[in-house]
Amino acid sequence: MKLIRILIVEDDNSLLAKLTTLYRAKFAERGFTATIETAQTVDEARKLAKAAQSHPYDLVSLDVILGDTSLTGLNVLSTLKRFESAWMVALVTGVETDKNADKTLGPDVANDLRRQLRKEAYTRFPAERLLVVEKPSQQLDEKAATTLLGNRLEQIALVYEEVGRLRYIFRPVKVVSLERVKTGNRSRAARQFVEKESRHWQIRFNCGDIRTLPDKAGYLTLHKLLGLSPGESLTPEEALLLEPVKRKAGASAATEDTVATYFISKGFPWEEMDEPRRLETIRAALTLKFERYCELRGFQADDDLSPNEEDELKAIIKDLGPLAGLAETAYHRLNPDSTEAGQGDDLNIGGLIQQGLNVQRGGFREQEEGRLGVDSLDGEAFRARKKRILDDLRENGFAAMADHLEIHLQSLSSNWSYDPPLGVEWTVS
Amino acid sequence: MITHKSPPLFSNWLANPPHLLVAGDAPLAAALGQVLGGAVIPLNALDEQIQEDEVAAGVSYHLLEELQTVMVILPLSAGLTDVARWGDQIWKLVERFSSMGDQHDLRWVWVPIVGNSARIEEGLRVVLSLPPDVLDMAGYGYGIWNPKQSLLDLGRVWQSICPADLLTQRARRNRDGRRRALGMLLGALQGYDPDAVVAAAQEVMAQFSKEKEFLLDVFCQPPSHPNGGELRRWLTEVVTCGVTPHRCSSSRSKVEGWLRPELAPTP
Repeated sequence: MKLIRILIVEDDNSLLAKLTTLYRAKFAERGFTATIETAQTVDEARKLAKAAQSHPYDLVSLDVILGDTSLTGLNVLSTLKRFESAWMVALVTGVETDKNADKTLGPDVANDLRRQLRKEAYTRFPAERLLVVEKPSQQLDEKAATTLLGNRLEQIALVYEEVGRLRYIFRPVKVVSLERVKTGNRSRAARQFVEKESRHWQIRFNCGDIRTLPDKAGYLTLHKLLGLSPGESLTPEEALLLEPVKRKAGASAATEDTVATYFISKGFPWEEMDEPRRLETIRAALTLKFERYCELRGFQADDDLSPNEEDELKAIIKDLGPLAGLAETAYHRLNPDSTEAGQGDDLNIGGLIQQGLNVQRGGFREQEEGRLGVDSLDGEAFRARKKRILDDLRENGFAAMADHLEIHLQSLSSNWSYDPPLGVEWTVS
Repeated sequence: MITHKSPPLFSNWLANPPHLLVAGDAPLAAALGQVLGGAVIPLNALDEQIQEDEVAAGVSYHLLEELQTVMVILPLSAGLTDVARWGDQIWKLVERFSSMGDQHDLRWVWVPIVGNSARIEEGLRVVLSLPPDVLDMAGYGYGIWNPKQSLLDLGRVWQSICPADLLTQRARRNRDGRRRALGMLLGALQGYDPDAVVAAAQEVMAQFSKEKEFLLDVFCQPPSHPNGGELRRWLTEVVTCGVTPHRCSSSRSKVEGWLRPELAPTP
């Protein structure tokens, strides 16, 4: 049984009762169990909208004229958008024929509203999730009006089901851009524009806006996971096939002068430099690297390292090669208060007890998040990749999605699986 | 972006987003900020357009995202126009530095250092466009605490206040008879209709009846009291002697110069 949480905002008591009954019936016909809340004033509705930020309404049925002389249902619409507290809104309005509108708002404001209602409504809430529906005319008899209202609510239920498919989106989109490239080998070769295709990701989570992010490592794997059927999981081999680890060309040549190769790749005229100059360049490069290494390690110790900075740190460790150990020693010497494990060689009883009798030099790894035992390499790789993806999503404004994945994206031994709650279905293509 | 030119308090807010903002210059402001764990902002910092750099840079930090309560310590010299101005400036900061903008809910506690709380309350009702029949301001987001009372009383006042946002206050201002009368006056002057101008002036005089004429200063631009005085003289003259179509034009620029710009009717 599917669940739906509805808020009905209507100041007319008899119409409110009718809407409650009809919404429940129409959604039940489509297999939904409805939880219905009601509000009769703008203030009440706005309070409920603000309170629903963490648990949004699936559908809000919103009247326009609510007895307030200054605020209308359009203000409630703005609040629902600002706090992302409604997936879909049905603006059930009778302002075109409602004589009370003139009395409540004044004739000038009421006429403006009649002319501008749809235009105003669509500027305040995403159009693809907003329906503007007319109440039955007051000239109809009771039975005809109820039948007509029922038909209109049935249409709302149908649209809700269709629009609901786009509530969770994570799909690749092709972005074509123009890049200026040199055509020829001469130093002053001509440049021309060529088309360059790249993969981006269109993302929406729950009631947030739909946005596009550039591709990042891990997104392809996440896309695969979100598209899996219930009960399916992804093996590490499949994950590796999806996003293989990139290796630099020519890195296996053992007889290469790696120092020369490094500086040539950075644009230094290494072959033309004499020995003193080369030494000076090496010294300067190492100093810069060490300084930046210490800075990034400080951020890492404070758990404040962004994904880009993490990449940079790994690149520096790779560049330093055998000197990476020296860099770590230098970092600890500059930060003697660091409590990170592996800092010192002293093994004292107090330190041992604090670490849960976990001897750092004995080949055991640190306890992580209260887990005992050693993490498998696959599990470690999964956790590291998951952290990168979630940090990246948080940095790009998808904190709620990252929190959701934190809970529902897990590893079963070495396989990865996504186990969403009821009602969450992703559009992945 | 927050630069070296930005006040240090902006950098402090970035590191420690405040839940409570205490606006004031008196030692009481610093003391309350320390005891209650709030950020303190001097009143003159509100008067400087310190957020303009950030607006120009197009960068927005949600510095006041966590803000729940504002306390304003009113100095002895504070007039109602100052109260109105500081309130509006704080709302501008909240609109700018909270993702919720004009829908950010706040509790306001006004703290008059010295003076008659009852008079302050009457003035606040006008500034905040509270209906005259409302006995309890707490339901509208506001409270007054006299420093002679205990901190326990402050806690009671604080807890009794229901938070409200700027959108609700603006709606209340739109319903305020005084503001509507002044808006009608500005509208009538724009229309160059002498009869409409006289009728609007009469309505303004009715809204600001005897003994309450001083409240007109609240709706005037600084220097509020002299501008309020000029406006009162002009109103008396118009109501008594009428106005010609030619004088409407010169009167319009004068009245627009006296009154606060937000009173002008929206097109």
